[in-house]
Amino acid sequence: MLPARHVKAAIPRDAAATGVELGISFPFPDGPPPCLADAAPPAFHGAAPSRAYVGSETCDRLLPSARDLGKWVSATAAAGWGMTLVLPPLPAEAQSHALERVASLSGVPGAEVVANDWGTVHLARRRFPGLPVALGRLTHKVLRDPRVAGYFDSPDAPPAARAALCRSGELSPGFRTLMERYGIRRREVDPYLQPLAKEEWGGRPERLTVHLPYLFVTMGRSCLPGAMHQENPERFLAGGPCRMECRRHAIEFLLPDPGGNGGGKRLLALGNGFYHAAPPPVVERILALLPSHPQVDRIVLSRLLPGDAPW
Amino acid sequence: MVKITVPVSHPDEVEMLAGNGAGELYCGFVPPEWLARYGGAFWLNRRGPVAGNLQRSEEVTLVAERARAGGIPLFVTFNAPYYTQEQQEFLLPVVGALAAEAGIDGVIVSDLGFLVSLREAYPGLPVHASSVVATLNPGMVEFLASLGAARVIFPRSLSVRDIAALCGAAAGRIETEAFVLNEGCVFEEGYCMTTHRTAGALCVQLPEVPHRFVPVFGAPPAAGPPEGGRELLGSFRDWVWFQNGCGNTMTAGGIPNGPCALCALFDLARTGVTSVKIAGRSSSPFRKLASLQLVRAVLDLVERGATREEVAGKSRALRNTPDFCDARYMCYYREAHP
Repeated sequence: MLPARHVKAAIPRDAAATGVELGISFPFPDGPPPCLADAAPPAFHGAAPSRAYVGSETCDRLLPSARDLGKWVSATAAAGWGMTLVLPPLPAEAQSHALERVASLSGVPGAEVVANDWGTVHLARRRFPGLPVALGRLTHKVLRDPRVAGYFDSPDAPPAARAALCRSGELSPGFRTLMERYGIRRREVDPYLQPLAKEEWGGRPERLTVHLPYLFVTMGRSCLPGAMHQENPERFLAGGPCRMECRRHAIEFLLPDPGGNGGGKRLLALGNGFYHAAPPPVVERILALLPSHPQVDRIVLSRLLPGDAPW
Repeated sequence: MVKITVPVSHPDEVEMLAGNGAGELYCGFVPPEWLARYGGAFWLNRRGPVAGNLQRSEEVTLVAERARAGGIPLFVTFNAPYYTQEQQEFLLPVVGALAAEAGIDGVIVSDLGFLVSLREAYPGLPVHASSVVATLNPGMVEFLASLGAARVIFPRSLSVRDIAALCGAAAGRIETEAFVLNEGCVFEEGYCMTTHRTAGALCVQLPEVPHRFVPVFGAPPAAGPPEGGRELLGSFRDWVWFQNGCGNTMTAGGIPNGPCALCALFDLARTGVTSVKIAGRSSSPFRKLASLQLVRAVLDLVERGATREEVAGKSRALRNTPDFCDARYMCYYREAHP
């Protein structure tokens, strides 16, 4: 049971998980639904939603307009939710627009920004020092290739290599210096297929957000579904024309497991991002971490396909 | 004057490259201790553990000495997307020894924490931010300059216009480098969390595996693939093939096929970029030389005051693969294609 931080009616806290906040992802550039509660699950493992994640983490075309962002601020405030603006890695021309949106959140109670590139962290912290900036999961450098997940437990792999693949570089002194210099208090991570080392969860001062159930795998500046309506050779050009195909279609690939055992992993191309749904045992492993790791205090849920498991 | 940055993987290549107009050299170094510890499972840099890398510090010393004799600097790649704390503790003294004993002129890194530690440990050693850092915006240039990076290497996904904007942001504070020849990247390499080892490059695999179009959450169900969907993966396969060096082929005249910015050199030179990079540390000496001669010839033309049309015409003539040029999937900077 994961009691929600901001919902008084949530199930009472228990020893298993205290203070876990539940965020719901709204990646497309729409205004908020008429009733936030209707667009979100009533609860996930006992926690009620209390934060909206607004915006795409991979595509700057999906940056909400100033008007829609204002509506989101009002809607989340009315619902008693927190508001998070999610920014993708920003190309040059999009960065100034994005920072205008960030400016509009400055001073909004409970508002924060998720930045997925350090250039945006640098500018946002300098210009809006009072606004919390979280490091987005795309900046968390850890191998996420679903094709080789089975190799992490292989006895044939050198122990040092296996250990390294279950760690990031974020506990190094240099990275700690960066986190301190920019006052980063929250880091977002993925539901890794490999079991991350214990210190990756507990050996850092910042709070952690875990995204479920989708693991980010890769992204391009060009958009695969977005190339559908184009002709060669205009396809696959970064910043090419967009008809928001990602609102309607995703492409699901079946990647065969290496070695030809007949199994495979599904990979979902949603716009310019590629995702893999973490299997239930991985999700359960992460949920089981929560009781002993109070710094993992937020979960963000995404629903990408109609057939996704209910929350 | 724009410099040409050229890969080197053996001391015997240095004189040849220096004599044909290389402005800078870069190499990889994988010490045997790393190989013993991590095998092929964790690459020290963006090339496989052996191919394209030097494995003895004496070889790095020799390359650095010969480069210095030719009047050009040598940079060494330590550009895995990240290193764990343990790996950084191993690599810091390795870099220190290369700087003090081999006389290298700088290192190329991707892990930002490692960059910070390197600057602290060896403040006199220039550190270049690899393309894997994914410098896409002026804020990132400013950020890297504030960390003391000496150069930013732009990712392959940028346009010439983007590069001009970022060179403007960098001006006077930090050097800049852009790709000019040989290897592409289908995904944004700084945000690609897959591996080329064991399973091969994901981008190459995707067009060959089963796929289906599915409606996203909230969209109405669709009957069959959307318009344009049937041909999509075929076009994607073509693009991936071009990005991967056209299957690592060469023309009958010995010109390497693959991602290319020769036509764009006229505009690139005007962005203020410090250097243009030829990719391919694991290429043969012949391919390295042919690549260098190709870029040198076109850059010389630019520097002699040729027009954009003359530069484009000469580039196409040198390549002599009009079908590939017209396909445009081989261009690094497709928008600059004449």
